[in-house]
Amino acid sequence: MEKKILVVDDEEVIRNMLQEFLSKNGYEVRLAESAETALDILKRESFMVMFLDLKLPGISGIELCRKIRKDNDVGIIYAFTGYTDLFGLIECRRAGFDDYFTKPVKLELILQAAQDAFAKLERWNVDEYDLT
Amino acid sequence: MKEKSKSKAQLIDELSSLRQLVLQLQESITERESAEEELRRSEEWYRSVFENALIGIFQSTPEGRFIRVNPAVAKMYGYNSPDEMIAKITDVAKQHYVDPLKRNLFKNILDEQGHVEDFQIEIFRTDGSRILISVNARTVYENDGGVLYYEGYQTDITEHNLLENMIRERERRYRHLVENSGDVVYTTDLRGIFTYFNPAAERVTGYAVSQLFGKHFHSIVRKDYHERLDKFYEKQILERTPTTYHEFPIVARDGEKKWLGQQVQLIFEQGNVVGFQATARDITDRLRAEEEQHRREILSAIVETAGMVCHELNQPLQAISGHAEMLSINLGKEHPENGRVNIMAEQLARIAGITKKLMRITKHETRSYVDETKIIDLDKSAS
Repeated sequence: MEKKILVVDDEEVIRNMLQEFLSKNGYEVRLAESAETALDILKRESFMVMFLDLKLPGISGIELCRKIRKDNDVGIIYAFTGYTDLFGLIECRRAGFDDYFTKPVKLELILQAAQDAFAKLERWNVDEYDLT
Repeated sequence: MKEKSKSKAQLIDELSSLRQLVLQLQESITERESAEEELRRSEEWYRSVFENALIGIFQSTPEGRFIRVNPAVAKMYGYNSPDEMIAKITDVAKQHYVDPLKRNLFKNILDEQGHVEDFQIEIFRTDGSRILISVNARTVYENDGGVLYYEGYQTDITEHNLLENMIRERERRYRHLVENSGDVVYTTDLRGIFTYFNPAAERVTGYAVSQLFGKHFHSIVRKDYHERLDKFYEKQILERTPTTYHEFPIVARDGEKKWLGQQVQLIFEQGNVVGFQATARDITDRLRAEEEQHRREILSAIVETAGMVCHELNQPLQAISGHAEMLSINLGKEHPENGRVNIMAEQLARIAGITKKLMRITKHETRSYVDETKIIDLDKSAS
């Protein structure tokens, strides 16, 4: 399975940092600064692991997740948020996120999440099906 | 011969006497005519009064016939003339009284006391309408002591009675309203001594009306408000402000603190202020609700601000802490500068801890900072 990750965050510093860190750990990373760009990329490429920031300009991370889930029920989607409460957690779960992380989050934890996601996909034999 | 023998002087004297007699006779006739004229005028005056009086004047027999009535009585009963009334009424109780038995009471009083005052009788007029009359009468006796007739006067008090009933009914209604009002209604004299208290006062203050009557209104007001209230109402008197509204705390009998919102009107007598009339409402619950609402609004503003601060701070924190983590990895654990990176990471974690607490704010608790300044107590405010 291709170890491709899509990172959507409007903060360039954070996008680049995650790309550098995840790349160093063997992942292929695509970046999008908005939901609209992410949706464009998703039209051309398939991703099974995604990190989405909730607070995005234009379409929000929640709405982006809902849109992705219309075509992709299996992929692992993680949320990043600068602020959250119980209501935010419930909304994330309803939108289809698998987990979420409140910033600032340790890179170590992000790496662990990425590894867990791919391990899970391997276990599910996702490669054997055409899910896109 | 004898006459002839009278002297001339004697004849003159006799003639003079005769003249005197004639003059006296003439004076007597004039006086009598004058007295008759006076009597005639007097009778005319009484007749005019009788005929034109606005009140009814009557004479009636114990059996219920009228001997004499003036036009006012005839008009009251609905007859065209006194003669018609006298002719047609043979038993006034049967023909005109709404309650014929009342005639017996009327006669009994007159027979026993000789007079009756403001005896009220409801009668049917000839057109069937009902009026209320007030009768003042006396008994006229025969020489042997038997009743000759009754005489007196009567007035139509229907409208007066209606007005009185209306006023009485209005008073009753107002009293009912005041006595059953959920609001406290009270009056005081100019010194502030209670002169009236409605039952709602008992419910609100816990004191019986009898316990408050005659006491100064200070007796229920919280002490720290005495001076403030005195000044407020002194100003109302001084400026003769007809109505004011003020809110103040009271202490109920059981010690419970309550707040009243009251409207106070000045009571005037002949242009002078003689007291106060107040309508007060227990606004404790309303104030508590307002306070709660205010508290919620403050908390909501705090939570919103905290959310904004968290979001704005956590973005750069993520970038810094991520890079610090990467730097630490790149340098390796043994590198001499790694200690500094770790210190940076610890301090960043400390800031992250603060933003996490901000995200958990559910209460508005403060602590003293410098002088009078207060700041949010983050540990107590975050759940």
